[in-house]
Amino acid sequence: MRWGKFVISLICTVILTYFLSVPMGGIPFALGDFFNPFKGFWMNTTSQSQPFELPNQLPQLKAPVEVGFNQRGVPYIFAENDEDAYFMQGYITARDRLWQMEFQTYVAAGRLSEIMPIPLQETVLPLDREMRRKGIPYAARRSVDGVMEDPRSRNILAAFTAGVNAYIRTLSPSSYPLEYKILGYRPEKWTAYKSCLLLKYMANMLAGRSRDISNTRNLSAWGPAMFDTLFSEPLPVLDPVIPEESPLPDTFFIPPAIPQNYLPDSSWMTGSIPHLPTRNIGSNNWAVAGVKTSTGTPMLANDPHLGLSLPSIWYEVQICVGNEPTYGVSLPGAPGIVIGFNSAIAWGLTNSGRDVLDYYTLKFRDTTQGAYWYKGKWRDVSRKIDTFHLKGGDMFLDTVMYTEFGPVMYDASFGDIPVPLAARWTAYEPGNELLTFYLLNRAKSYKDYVAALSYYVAPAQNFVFASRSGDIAIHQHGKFVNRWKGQGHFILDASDSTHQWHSFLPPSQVPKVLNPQRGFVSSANQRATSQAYPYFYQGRFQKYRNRRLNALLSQDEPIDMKRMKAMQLDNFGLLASEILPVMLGELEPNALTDKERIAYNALVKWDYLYESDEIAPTIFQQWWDTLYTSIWQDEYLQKGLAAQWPEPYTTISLLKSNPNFSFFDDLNTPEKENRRKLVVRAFRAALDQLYTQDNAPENWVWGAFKGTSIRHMARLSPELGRHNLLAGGFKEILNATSKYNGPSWRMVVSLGKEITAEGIYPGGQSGNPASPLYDNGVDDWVEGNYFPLSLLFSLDPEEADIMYQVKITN
Amino acid sequence: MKFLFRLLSIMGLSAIFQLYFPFWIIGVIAFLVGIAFAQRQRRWAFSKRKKQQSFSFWAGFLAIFILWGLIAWIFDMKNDSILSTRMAGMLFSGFSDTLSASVKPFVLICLTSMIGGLLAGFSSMAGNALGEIIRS
Repeated sequence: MRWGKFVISLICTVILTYFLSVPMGGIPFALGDFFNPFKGFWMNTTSQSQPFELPNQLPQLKAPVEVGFNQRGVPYIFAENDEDAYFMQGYITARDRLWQMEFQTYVAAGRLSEIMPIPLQETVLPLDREMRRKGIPYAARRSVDGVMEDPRSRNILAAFTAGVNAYIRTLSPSSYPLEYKILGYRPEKWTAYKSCLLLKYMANMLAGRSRDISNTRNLSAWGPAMFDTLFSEPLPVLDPVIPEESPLPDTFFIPPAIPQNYLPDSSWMTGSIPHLPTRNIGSNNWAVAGVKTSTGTPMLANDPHLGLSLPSIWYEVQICVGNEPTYGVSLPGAPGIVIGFNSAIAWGLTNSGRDVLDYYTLKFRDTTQGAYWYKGKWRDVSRKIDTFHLKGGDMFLDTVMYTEFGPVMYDASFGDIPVPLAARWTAYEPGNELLTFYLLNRAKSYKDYVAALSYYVAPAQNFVFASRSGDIAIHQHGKFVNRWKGQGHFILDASDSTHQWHSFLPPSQVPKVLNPQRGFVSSANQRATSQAYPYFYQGRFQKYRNRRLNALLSQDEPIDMKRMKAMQLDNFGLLASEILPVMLGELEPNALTDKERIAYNALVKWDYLYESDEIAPTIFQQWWDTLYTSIWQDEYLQKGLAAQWPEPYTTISLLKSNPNFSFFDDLNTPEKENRRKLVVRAFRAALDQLYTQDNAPENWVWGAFKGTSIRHMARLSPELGRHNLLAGGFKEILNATSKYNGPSWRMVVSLGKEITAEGIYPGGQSGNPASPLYDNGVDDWVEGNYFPLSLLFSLDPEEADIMYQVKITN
Repeated sequence: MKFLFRLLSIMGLSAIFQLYFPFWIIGVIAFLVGIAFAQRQRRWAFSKRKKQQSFSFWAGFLAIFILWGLIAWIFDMKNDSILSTRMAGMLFSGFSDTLSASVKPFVLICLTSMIGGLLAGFSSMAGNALGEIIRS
């Protein structure tokens, strides 16, 4: 009896302890560890009481460093030398964003399946394989070589890495950032390679897509003439980045000849096409010369539109070495400031949108795929076995072939493509982007800016520039292939030596302009140049934001900071304004039902502004999306064609110019449709949808309909993000706030006698979901408010709102 | 009195040793305290023994229920319930909408207390039972 009591209660204890110590039932953490208030998630609340705490001494420093934090948690780092400055940047960034920094490198390195919960493994493993097959880790390793070549970039990266590691060493399991506890893993040591992985993560996000496969399929399906109608870029080029009257590159570099019999074919591509999501990423930037501003001195603006996440992709910081402060946003995980200003200049970035990733079919000697034909010889394929250490202890092996071009991304075992496709991508070229940012952070003049850009490889960007001395400029920089006309538009053939990349364009040949006549420079992901530019390139280019932006910048009124911000927040829908009148014209107002008339009247009165509290944008967008889908979907389904549909711009041109265009016929009906029938039918279908889904028109408010959401970076829980925000704007609009993407940083800078700047991003400085600084910028960002950004030359508490400051000795 | 003493011993020792050991140390402590406080059994006093047995469970349970709950509550107060609201939403995602925001932190603190309390309760009971065997 006594033994019985003992044994039963002991068994209960042991079982309970076991259940509390190991992750169970798909939950990635052990309950006991997680709930234990001495070590688990409750401990993560403590950092709030002293959010800015730093040690008084760090022996790795060469000289004393001063750090202050303002109310929003922006660090001001004052150091005597570069090494100390970047050491502190690493230390502080890790303190605020360690989990995010490392998580992004797990994504880039294709290691998510090591850490994500086991039930998600099936979704995560293909992502991991894609990253590895795309060669992101390979590109990062080559990038380390590039960075290590120059002593300046080598030193700052080493110092940054040491700073991150110094912080990591202060951690114990109880002080790990929350996500480590939720997912049940621990931080690794930081390395230079991890910083390079982060840069390649960005390169992949911005320049890691190519439409070669999709174009090839479209070409085969529709034939060359129709392909041209559906997919060629409009001419003349719509408002290119570089104004038409700007001088062309002076020394011409001969573009290679177009090979004969170049007829891409996709008949061999029987498998389904790897899914290529259309992501609404892009950016705006511009600079206005003194002649156009209220102050008589230049102003600059930049808002990169990226996937919105918490923690935010940006981290605000001021770094001051000696007496030279630079303020702006950094990418957590890389030293330096990516977009910002100093006491002499300001700069910003937008994506170039140029295609720098090509796919090559390989001709193998035999079915063992041991050698491929290249430049008149059989070359051996090198095979590398990639090992995936899955969470839970299993292993997954993937054999990846490497060629002279790059890794074989798709083959029978991945992407369901029977003919192996090797990728060739500029991101594999060793570059030194870190040195570009290091030098830009210190640039004092146009000359310094040009020198800094020469090291930049990928992802290609439009670098806008303005200086206090009065210059404005924009250069499109990155590594660009000198292509023959059409090269890389379709899948290329590795066995044909004329298909290989001939050469790269030297930096002197990039599109650029300094102080143009019109008094402003701007870019919004449109084509960089007019037809007069001698080199061929293709890509995905914006057709609306750029025209709207230039129209606003061309107005005569002097531009002040208020107007600079108003342009970033501009909700005018140029696309809608160009097609809605045509669509409304096809409706018979007298034949409308009462319900339809409400919508019709709202649209007739609409000023094309995508304001969050309007219902007209919702009605238009629903109508337009239905129309766009009804035009293309039937033809693509009939052919079983998994490829991208023509762009909205082309669709609108066809709707306007050719009301009886063959694609307007709905293949699902026996009758023959034209524009009018489709437009009317789409109107009815869209309203049906709205009335059933959202009930009465009062509920169709645009902000709610769109429901902009900032998700947690690992999508761990909706509770760690901010959802259904009532924000105006949309894709193709200057305020490019769509559902999951939007202006990830808004910055305006006035480079007058005094430098004034304002900025905001939809997040907060802290990556800790327990901190009020986790998402403190979100509501103001939705409202279109900005925070002042002050450039400080010293930590004078009177001067700025410095909440906490510390002198750290060595 | 003895109950209170037992409870405070488990609570105090746990508060100290928890700083250095993982959560299961509370089980070890409750077990050892259970042994130490166990009384020699008189075979015929069955009813009393039963009381002892449940006493020992509740001593362990309450000690850690209070300790963990108190600490979680203090953390939560200092944090204005920012994290606990988010965590409760994440952990109870299925029925998160049925809980009002003000209740979420309370539910999470209770859950924390229960987890620690149950473990300490059973260990304390087991320790007590072993102590009785040793002493009889």
